Amino acid sequence: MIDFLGAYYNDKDIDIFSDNPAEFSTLFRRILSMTLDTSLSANIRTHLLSFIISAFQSLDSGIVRKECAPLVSISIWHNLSSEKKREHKLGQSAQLRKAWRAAAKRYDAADEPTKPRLRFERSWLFTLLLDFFNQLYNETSKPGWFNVPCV
Amino acid sequence: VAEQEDHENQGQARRVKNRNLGCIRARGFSLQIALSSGEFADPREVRPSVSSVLEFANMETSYLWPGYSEDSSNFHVLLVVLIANVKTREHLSTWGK
Repeated sequence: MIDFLGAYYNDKDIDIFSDNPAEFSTLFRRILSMTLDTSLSANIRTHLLSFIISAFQSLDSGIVRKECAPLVSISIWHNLSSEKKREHKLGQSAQLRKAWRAAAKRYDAADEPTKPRLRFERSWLFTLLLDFFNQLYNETSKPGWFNVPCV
Repeated sequence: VAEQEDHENQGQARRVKNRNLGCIRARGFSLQIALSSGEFADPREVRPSVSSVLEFANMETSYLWPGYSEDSSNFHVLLVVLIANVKTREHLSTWGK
């Protein structure tokens, strides 16, 4: 059966996403914002999240890496509990401090349309986590988040 | 004779295409209903057979992804996501190289 699948896919163009990186980028953005959309049901959001998870498991693909990397860059430290805590963390490594400064510089240098994008990138994981805790403490919600399939 | 054959092939291709499109519309529609009514009780329930995985994958390659643009509906995005998830789960190439 594997051979059959292999043969089938060798004939087909499997690099569908990498054919069009610009469209893939907008698609990925949309999926990211949909994962935060609380008006969608938990099940749908679980599917969306599984997609993101499998993306993070496929970082060997260039287009995927390009979309995933900003979501876990040093900028997400903007959401650490306090400035003091962040300073403490940054103080532990000169390299981290350098990266932090570079990120701040990049943000300041960015043009107006890019800034909201950068802000979204730094807050995505944080928002998702907050929402996860909300779901944990909200007893009436269905346990959709716990059914994230292992991919 | 060659011309006639060519003509027949074209007709055949068109028929296949029309059938696929119809099939996609039907599936897309039922999926849309399923999505909007929150029918996917458990994400693991979406586990089609191998043949329909191939069909889905083909559908994505041929129609869904080329047809995607920024104006596409959220359902379109969800379909791409669901099919990509199924492909990942069946260990098929999702992202390309």
